[in-house]
Amino acid sequence: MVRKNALEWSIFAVSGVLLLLVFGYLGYHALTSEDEPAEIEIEVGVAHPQGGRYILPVSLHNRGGQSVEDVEIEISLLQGGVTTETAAITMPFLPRLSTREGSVFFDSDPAQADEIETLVIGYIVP
Amino acid sequence: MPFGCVTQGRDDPENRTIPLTMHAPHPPIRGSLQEYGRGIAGGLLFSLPMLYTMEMWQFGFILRPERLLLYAVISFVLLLGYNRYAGLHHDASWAEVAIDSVEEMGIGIVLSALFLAILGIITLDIALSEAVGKTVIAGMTVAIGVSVGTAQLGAPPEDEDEAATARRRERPSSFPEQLVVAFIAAILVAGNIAPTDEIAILGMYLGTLNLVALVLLSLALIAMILFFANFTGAGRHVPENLTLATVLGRSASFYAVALLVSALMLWFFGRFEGAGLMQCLSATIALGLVASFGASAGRLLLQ
Repeated sequence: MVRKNALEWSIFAVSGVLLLLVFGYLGYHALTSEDEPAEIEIEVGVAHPQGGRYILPVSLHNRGGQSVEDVEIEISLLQGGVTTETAAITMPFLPRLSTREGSVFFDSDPAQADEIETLVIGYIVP
Repeated sequence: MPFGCVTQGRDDPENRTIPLTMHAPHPPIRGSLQEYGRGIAGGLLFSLPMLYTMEMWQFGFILRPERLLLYAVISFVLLLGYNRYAGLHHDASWAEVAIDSVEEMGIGIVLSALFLAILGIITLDIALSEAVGKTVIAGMTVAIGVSVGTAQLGAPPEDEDEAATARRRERPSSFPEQLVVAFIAAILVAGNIAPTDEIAILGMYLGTLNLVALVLLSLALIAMILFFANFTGAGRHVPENLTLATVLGRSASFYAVALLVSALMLWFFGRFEGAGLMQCLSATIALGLVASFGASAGRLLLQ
């Protein structure tokens, strides 16, 4: 025989719904997401001056189904087809279907460059 | 979680009806709130180290959803086992055990999400899959802690006289029951250490002598806690005529549980992937010492 008061029944009901949601979500994800490799995309923001140099915000998107570690990226400024300046950062973690933000510094104004080249050097699979 | 219906032990069926007829059909709200309070305290007591461990947050997004689902299912089965064999109500039906387990898991998930949000580990900016992963991986330990806290941290119910309390505390348990509780206690104690990088690093450089010493130390600690140190509750599980063979056999059994729990947890956290046999064995033995404490001292406190 189960004897419970209204408070206990409501906590049980809320917990039950919560468990169904979590189990359902994980189950759905397990069935639909394939173990596809990480797919990294670099998005460059708008540079602004800071302390005599220029700071350029960058966003790293992982559109793939695998989380990765130590993502190394390189951003280069190109003038007339020639690389004038290069900056690099390493992102400690980039989870699947997630975005992480960072910034790189340049001596010259990235807005004046002909082209900004972004490059993923590599990452580690945890 | 019915309150105030602890009976006088399962092998005393005549007495079982008395508490049920003496009390109102619904336990008081105040009593339930106190139980939830104890549960929350117990949940945090066991899981705060995990909530504050970086590797745990990372496993929330590194592990695949099917592995997280498996983790949640195993935790639920462990909760059922704990509530059945060591929970507050030894006469509880499976329906009550299941309802309690669902509640405890719900509380565990909510507490985990709340703490991770307060600590800034879960924010509105991160993907839903990452937030759910982080919450689930810590929430399961919180849930088992909630169960342990509810059952063990409370004062005996007011309507229970001293003799009944003593009988309940002295209730002997079967050896398989002890192994189940030892398994859960080992997970609770070693769970805080299993995900850390330290165990993988220890696995890399522990030498043969270190490993032999760790095995002997683990066995000695188990034997000491179970049979010699007069630990709380140890007496009632020890057979009347204790022989050296019993001491060695039982210590070895509980050490086996500790090693099994260690290996399972390390496998679960992906520490065995691509690792050689020696690396796996060394890491298991390193974690096994911690799990041994759970299987012996932790088990006695939980039961």
